[in-house]
Amino acid sequence: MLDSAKNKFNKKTREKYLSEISQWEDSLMFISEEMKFLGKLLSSGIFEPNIPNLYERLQQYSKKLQDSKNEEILLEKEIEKYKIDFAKELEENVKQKDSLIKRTHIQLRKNINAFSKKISGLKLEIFNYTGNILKKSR
Amino acid sequence: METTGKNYKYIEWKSAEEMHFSSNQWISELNFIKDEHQFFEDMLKEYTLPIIESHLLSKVKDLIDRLTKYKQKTETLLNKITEHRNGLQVMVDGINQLEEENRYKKEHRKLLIDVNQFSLEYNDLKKEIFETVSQALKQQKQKRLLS
Repeated sequence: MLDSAKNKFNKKTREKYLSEISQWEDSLMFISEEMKFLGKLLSSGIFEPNIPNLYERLQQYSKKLQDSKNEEILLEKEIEKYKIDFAKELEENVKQKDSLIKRTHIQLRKNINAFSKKISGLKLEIFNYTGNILKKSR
Repeated sequence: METTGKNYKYIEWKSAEEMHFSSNQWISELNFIKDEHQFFEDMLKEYTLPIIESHLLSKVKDLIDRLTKYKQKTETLLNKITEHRNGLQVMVDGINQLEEENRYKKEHRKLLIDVNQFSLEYNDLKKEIFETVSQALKQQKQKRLLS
């Protein structure tokens, strides 16, 4: 009875984790597209000229986008590694509740949430700055 | 957004705390989307010259119309989620109200589906905006190089 309850828990957790992993991958892929677009925008010259420190500010945001891109690549790699470990654990049929997988999953979830939050903050900064200096059509 | 619509099954065993967390997360993401809408709208409306020159005007008009519709959708969804979040009491009051609790979970599941659907459609719209603006920028760059 206990074993069957444990298996059920594991099956549910497994499904939940797999679903989450897939969401993380989709989300990172989309974030990557967004960053690429914002990068293009920053270097496109679509802003009013003669804005004080315009070049420096745009450079600053481009640098932040590049750093975030690097961070995103690292997260993608971590997910890939985790997926391999996850598959291995399933194969070996490990049923320890507090397994390494569970800890890794929770940590990755934290990292991805923190990254998404950071990206939203950066996007908001870029929107707020560039939104006001877009070149007006004359 | 938090999920992408591939698997809603695990909602059935989400705890009250997790549902509260999800609701808050959706609210924060939808509020962010409101700012994003504004930026895209400004960008598409203000920066029209290269768009006119690149013959993408009708496409851009369509994108602006759709963005406006999404603004309304965002507000509606935000209101629904806020109301849902405020009704969480039924799950945590310690009183055994199976029917009410099931209704709450059902509502959460329905909202999850709505948010996922919204998110998928909104992301598609964003991709179209990225493509259209990128195309206009590219044509403008080519024009600059040739002149």
